[in-house]
Amino acid sequence: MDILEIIQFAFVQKAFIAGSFVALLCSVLGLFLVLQRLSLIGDGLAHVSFGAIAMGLFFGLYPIYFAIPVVILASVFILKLVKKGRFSGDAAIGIVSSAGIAGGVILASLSNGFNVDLFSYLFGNILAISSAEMYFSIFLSVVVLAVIYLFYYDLFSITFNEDYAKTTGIKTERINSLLVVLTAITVVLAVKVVGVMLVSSLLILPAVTALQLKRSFKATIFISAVFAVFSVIIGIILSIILNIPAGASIVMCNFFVFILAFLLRNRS
Amino acid sequence: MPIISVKNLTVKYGNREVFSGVSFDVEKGDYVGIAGQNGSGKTTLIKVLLGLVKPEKGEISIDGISLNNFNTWGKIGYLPQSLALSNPLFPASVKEVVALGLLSEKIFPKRIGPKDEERIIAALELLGISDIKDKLIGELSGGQQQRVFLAHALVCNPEILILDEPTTALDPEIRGIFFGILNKLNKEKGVTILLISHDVGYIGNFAKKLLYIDKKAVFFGPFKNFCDSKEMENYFGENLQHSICHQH
Repeated sequence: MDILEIIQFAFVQKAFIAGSFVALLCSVLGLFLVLQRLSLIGDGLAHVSFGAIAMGLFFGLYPIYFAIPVVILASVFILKLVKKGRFSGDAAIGIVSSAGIAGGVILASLSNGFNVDLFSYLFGNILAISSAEMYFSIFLSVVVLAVIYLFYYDLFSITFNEDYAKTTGIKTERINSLLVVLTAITVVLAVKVVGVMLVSSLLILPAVTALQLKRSFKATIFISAVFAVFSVIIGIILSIILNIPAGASIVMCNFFVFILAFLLRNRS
Repeated sequence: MPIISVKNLTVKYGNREVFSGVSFDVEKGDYVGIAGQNGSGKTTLIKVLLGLVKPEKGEISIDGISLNNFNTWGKIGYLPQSLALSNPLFPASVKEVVALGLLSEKIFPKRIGPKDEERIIAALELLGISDIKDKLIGELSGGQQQRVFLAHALVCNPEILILDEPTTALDPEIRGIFFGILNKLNKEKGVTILLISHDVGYIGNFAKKLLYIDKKAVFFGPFKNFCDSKEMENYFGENLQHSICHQH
């Protein structure tokens, strides 16, 4: 099967479109998270989304729609644990993510009927995305990207230095909360693309790849987005040609692009 | 009316009191050196003035407005001790870093336009670093970075400039240039300067007034009065006072 033939299929086109939007979103948000050393919040929230998806399946609700508000609440809870409970960020993420995984495992064992469905969310299934899911992913991606655009300078400023940002009148706690809530939405959308286990790679890899090329902040965001979309397209094509899981294929493409950029940087 | 008024300020970190009962007034156009030993509360004091640390008690007003209601942060430029870049790969150009200084006067949605670009270039030219405007901040030397951060503090034409040991990482030549720029801003543009240094004698070369902190305000007034003060002689000892004032 050649590439031209592959891209004719409607399910592949839907995967390209939804995957590209989610990758674009992850790459932009991921740069802020990586530079603020919050990379693992994506991993923690993905684990929570596992529990939330299990809960959705358990109650017979559409899991992704159900997971979004639950993961947003979990992200707010992590912030509260850090702020009011005075836990460190990684400890707070650990507390919430472990509860998410444990909750998901318990619900899965209580209901033997949805184990197969749950497995598909663990490793993603972008090639099985429906039209409704694609439109939903596009809609939420556009909304989140618009919010990032509107708060771009606030996000950039707190990423550069939080104290510095405060002295220019930026309400840093609000902006941090916004960043975490946007991450929660993004993580749930990315679960469909690469699965719970690999979500953090979509947030981290394009960002760290772009950082190897040493450009201005805006240019780094752009490069990160280009790498992310490129990896999704190539990853999906390779997954069909080689008959391997699409989520893992996308992540490996991201990984190899990172290795190339890393070698290029060290050579120069 | 003083441009900065601090009354009976007490700050605690948990149960540990950093300083207590600190009061002083800074007039418009003053150049105040803030000195004290390590851990005396100098940096904490300016963090309180900038709203970064909440005081236990006391009142602060800036330009006649209580700090709780103060929101015209563009009037204050701040240069931290050394803004250690936690990530040397941080992808920000010099222009982008200086642009962040303009955010204090922007309203939602904040945008940097062509007129702002001109102001950024003007601030960089003032500090003689317009040639590095497109370089990444992480690629610069300590001296260049410090000048970029000073440009960040100056870009919105602040009335008050607060600097926390700004020249610690600089070599003597750059240090001289740096203080020359501050002097010019103070004398020609009437910018009020608050400058922290652990070196009391060195501050005396530039500052008109001195605030010496040691868990409280030990001295506040013109530097000359510090040198003539019997009270300070008793506090520091004749030799140390003489040594400080001799440097000056």
